[in-house]
Amino acid sequence: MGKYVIRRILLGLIVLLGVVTITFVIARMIPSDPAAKWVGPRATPQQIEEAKIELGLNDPLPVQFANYVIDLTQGNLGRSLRTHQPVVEDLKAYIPPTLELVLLAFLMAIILGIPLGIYSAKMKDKFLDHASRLFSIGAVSLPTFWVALFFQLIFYRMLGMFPLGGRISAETTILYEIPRVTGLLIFDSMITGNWVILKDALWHIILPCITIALYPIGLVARMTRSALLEVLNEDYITAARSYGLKEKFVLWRYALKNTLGSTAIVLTLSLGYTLVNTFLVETIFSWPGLGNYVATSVVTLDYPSIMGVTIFSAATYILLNLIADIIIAMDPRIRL
Amino acid sequence: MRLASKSIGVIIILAILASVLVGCGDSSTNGQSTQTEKRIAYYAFNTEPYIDLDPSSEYSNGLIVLHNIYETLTRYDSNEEVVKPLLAESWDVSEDGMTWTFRIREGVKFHDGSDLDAESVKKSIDRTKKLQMGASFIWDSVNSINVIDEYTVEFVLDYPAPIDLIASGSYAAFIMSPETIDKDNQWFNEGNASGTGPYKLQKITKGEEVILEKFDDYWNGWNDNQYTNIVIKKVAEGSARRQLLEKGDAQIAASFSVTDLKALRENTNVVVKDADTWRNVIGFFNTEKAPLDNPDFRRAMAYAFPYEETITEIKEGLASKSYGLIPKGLWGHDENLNQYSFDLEKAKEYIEKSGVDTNGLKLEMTFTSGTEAYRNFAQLYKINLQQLGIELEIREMNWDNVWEKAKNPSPQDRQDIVIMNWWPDYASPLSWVQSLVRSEEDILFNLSYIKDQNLDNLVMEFEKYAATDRSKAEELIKEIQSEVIDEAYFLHIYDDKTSWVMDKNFKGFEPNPAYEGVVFFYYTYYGE
Repeated sequence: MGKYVIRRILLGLIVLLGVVTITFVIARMIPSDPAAKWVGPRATPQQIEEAKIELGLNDPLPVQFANYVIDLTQGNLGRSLRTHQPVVEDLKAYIPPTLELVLLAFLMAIILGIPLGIYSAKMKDKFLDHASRLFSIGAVSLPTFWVALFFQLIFYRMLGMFPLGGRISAETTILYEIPRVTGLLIFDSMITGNWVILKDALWHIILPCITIALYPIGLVARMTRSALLEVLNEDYITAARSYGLKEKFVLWRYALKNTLGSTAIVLTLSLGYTLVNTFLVETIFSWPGLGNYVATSVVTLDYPSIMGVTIFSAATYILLNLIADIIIAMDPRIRL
Repeated sequence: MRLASKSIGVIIILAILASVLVGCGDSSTNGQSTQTEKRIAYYAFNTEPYIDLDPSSEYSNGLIVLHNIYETLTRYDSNEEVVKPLLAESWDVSEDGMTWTFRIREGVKFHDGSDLDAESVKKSIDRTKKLQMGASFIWDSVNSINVIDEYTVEFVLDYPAPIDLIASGSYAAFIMSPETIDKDNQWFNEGNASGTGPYKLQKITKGEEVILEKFDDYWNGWNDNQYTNIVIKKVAEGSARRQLLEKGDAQIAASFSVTDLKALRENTNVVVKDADTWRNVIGFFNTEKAPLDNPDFRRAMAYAFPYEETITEIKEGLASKSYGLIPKGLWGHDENLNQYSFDLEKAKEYIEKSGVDTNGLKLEMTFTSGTEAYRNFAQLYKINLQQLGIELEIREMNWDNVWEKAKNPSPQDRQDIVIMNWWPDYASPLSWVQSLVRSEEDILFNLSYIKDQNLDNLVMEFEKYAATDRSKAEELIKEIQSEVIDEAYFLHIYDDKTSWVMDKNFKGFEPNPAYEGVVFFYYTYYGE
């Protein structure tokens, strides 16, 4: 098991180096003038030349790549051509709001998706099973941007129940000191006992969170249902039932335990897709996360920022794959 | 069944939690009434309110924030078309336009409590010049800045330049506290600032939101009905900005689609104000590549463009006809200048005169992707050109790709026509003629690739008189534009307008095209 994990980690690092190399080469191949971007839209040729020297753009490409990798190992992702700030600083500001949204959406997916799947499997082919399946299919297939706009229309414009967007009300920001411990606003306000901010933050996160959570809820519910139905038809379940064990005991102790592995893997791997969905939802809900940063960086060809986000996303995905692999490895039926 | 009951229970708990939260929400932000009590003005901006908060280097949207925190020596009044005192009370210029002397306003305090004086003016401009970032080039003519006495500062130039206008610039002309001169870019971007403006920087959310609060010691004083706090927030979706205005949650916003504007104009709770901008849309002909190196062929191309249809149908009246390079509302704009209009017969005449065989002729037009108006007028132009036997290939690209292609050393590998908009850095026509008309060794923005000695001489003379003799300068700019129009170097497509939408109780706002997108909140107030 230990060897297997080490092998997977090494493989992950090789993949990450591949991602770094490819993104670096692509970034340098795109027709663009980073030096002109660095000094501003109406720079003089002299300013552009000075910027080239400052940014090391006159060095041969392999030297530039080597410098980038060396800096990377020291946690330096370069400076954004647009904001002039270290990319790491930009990421530090933008990752926590995105992370908060995704984590809460996944928590919601677990709390709602698994019971929905169990309930659906248990009530197979009954009305409520059909309703639950319809919901799951809808949740997985509805375009996220459509759901976001629909929620805004209903819950902000028509009912006035939730805010249109943002992470916290301007009034709250003006009147209260916003706690900054981890950058996760809900968590920070909880640990500092700042209930006004907690309430305001929860009020703001509900709509974007549900929008993002719909896809993993649907996915988890469908996965749990089908896996559970398959397990419930296994001989050992029939045997357990024939021993006279209670249905609840059979379901929770024997059946569900054997379905959770696959559900967890699906949930973990869907995080990559959810992250991309989050970028879109953030734009619609004016959520100050990574999505807005990525969108603007791509449009303006701010390649240090694009590379920074790509490396972060790749590293996250590799880590999640590793977790999924470990979950699989923990199943005694699997041989490594 | 017990399992089902549990699930229902979870749903009920969540519903209760949601309703509790809704209750909190309603009490904490009750739209208009809460805002009225605290006098908060909310500006829903279509993109990031700033990219860089360093007043020396910011050269993007940040002017909408910085002009409320920092002030400049002078400010351009677009209604009266004159530059007016701000931090400078008065100024003089030597006869040769080489020395400018500014008398600085006394009794002005920076947000950190320090006093404004000639030394702080010198240090601020020197910092901007030294950094060589953003729009710092506006000070290129300045050789040295000398402190004459505590409240008098002198600018000595290498060549004549309109320093009174430059000092009113929308970028790179901000005066900052001497305490902040040595701070680096990161310090400013951590949310620190110290200007003399009416508002202090209270809080920032990177790339998303800026909150300003009233500076009690502002030199011009305060009235009771002015706004105490300003929220400038990115709201990227047009429909979201519209909803915020309709619900009374935002006080001001701009950049709406034609459909949204139509609906907003019918809403009695908001006021729509259409305003001229100094941004004009120009097509650049590649004059170094056949057949556009032929002036008669360029004239034919100019006559084939659907000017009126673009303004009335595509822009729905939110643009005005261009007369030469200089947009409406800026000195140098002259509606007596000749202008091409859509006339296919004339176009055919000029094609014949040019001797260009249009049979199978293909031309490539490039512009930045995502601009709906460009896409639509390009399609109309394509249809018109088809009637002349010319096939127009329309290529939408990222701006970097458009620019890189336009700067290609080989004229044959460049596009035939590139569409771009242009606006000035300060209230002067100089940047159009300096950047778009004057010959360039390394291509930057002269994307018609004009190399005309006569025009170069005229531009040089214009630079000189723009600083010292306005009437002579106006004659010269007319002459430059006449030649440019006659040679048909450009397609003068339209001068753009913008529509501001405001809450009906948000008063006092006057758009100023010299500071695009800026709301000088100090002059706004809440009124029934």
